[in-house]
Amino acid sequence: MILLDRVSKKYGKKGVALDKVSFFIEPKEFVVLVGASGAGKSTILKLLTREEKETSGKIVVGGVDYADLKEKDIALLRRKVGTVFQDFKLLPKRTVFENVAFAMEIVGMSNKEIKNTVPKVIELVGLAGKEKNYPDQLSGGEKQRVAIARAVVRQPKILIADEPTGNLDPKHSWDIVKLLERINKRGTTVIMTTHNQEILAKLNRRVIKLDHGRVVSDRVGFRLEDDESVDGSSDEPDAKSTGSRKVSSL
Amino acid sequence: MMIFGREVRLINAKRIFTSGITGFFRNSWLSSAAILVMTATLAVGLLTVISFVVYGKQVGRLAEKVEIKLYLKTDVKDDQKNAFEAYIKSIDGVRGVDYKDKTQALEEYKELNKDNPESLKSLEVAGDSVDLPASFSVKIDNFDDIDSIQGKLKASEFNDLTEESEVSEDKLRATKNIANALATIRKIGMVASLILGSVSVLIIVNTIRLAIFNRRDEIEIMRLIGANKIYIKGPFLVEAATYGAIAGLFTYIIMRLTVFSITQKAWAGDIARDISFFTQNSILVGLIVTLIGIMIGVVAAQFAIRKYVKFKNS
Repeated sequence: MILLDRVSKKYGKKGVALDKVSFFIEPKEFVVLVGASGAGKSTILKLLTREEKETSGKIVVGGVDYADLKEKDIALLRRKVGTVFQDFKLLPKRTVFENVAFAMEIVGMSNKEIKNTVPKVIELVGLAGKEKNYPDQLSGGEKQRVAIARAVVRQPKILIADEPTGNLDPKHSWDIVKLLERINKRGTTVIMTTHNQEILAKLNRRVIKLDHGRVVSDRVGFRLEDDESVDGSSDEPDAKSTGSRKVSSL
Repeated sequence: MMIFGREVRLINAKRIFTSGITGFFRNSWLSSAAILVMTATLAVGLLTVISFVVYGKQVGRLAEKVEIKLYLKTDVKDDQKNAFEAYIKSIDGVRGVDYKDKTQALEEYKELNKDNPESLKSLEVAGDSVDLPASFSVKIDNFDDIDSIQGKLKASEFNDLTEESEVSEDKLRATKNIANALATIRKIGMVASLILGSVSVLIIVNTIRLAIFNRRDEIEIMRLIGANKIYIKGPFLVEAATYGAIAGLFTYIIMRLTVFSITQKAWAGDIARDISFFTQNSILVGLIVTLIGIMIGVVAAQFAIRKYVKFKNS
């Protein structure tokens, strides 16, 4: 579903955000990217949504090689990939319903489709009854639920969540992660970044750890002590050790 | 439906339009300023066009009165006269030639002096010895060409056939004065239109810039969740086009009232007839003015969008 093969991203001559990062994500997988600030987690997500362009390497998402992607195709790509942001990015002058409907409006879905779909998704994220509330009348957790509803309302194959729990307290954080798991169980591939070790430990999912723009470990599960013990042997993994054998399955 | 070469679904076109109109009312103060300046621009522009028409017609009318008179020698034969006449007609800028033989010249002289008994008496006294010369009256298209036509006549082989030539200097001078005044008005109109046009564009660019600034979060979110360019740009273009359309409507009303009131004035005379096109075709003129207003608005908005909305990825 998602392949990164020796992807690098540089800013100027010395600013290396990613250094030959390679991994492959299967359809319907739930993958967590971890690492300290500046490790390159968000850069990977920005490359996947084409907010930024890789300096070198190959990115293939859902069979689409980003090297062949034209400027006009980017909007179409983003319609197929749902995105959740740490700062929610909700429209303050629109209600919960309108914020979720907005994602459908911009792709030209009919009012009837919107009226049918949006309440179901709002119910899925646990906000039934709050359709008419404005974002400033919601808690942080609720705002993030609205953002998730907006991201999944078009039923994307891939959901990208950049620090979705970054602004939330532990209880709300875990609720959001459970919601993402529920969405994953419905068949959506989820890629999430987080700093929250407690969530990582509880989740027991595939964790790709980044450090200074490199993948330093890629395995299922996370233990708190992992944070200190970086596996040096996994430096510069390439697509051969992670995803290249699966390229044909894209 | 195709907009700017891209296919836009009808439902999206409706949403873009609604969003643009909402933006228009949301920025009501700025919208009013933009409409005001745009109305001034269109009104001055239209006034300039009207002055072009009036200028053209007035000058044409004045030019009709200016002519070159060529008095022929008494011994010019008919075939020479005919060849000379054909030559005059062949000169560029000559609208027509009138020939008056000796008898007609005498009749004309009598007519001109009918209130001058002394002149008529001296004519009687002279009797058969009066031999007024035959003449050509050369009418021209444009009095600016008068010198070159005179030059060609003097340089021609037929110059020997003429006794003398004269131009109605007083008419020419008056015509030139009026033409110069009209030309000045026309130039002022053009400069004012250009200045006001630039101010209009500047104000619209700034209005749209502010609208973009106010909605920068919305634009960013639209971009990130997959809105295409036309969906993001569309509302701003609609907003700016609305300024143009309303300004066009105001200009139409101003034109109707002004032109109508001029045509009712007694002093308007020929001018009333000259501008009758604008009263007879006022809806067409109004539509053209509105379209120009919409075009100015859209071009200015397009400029603001290019400058202030980031579409490209790093």
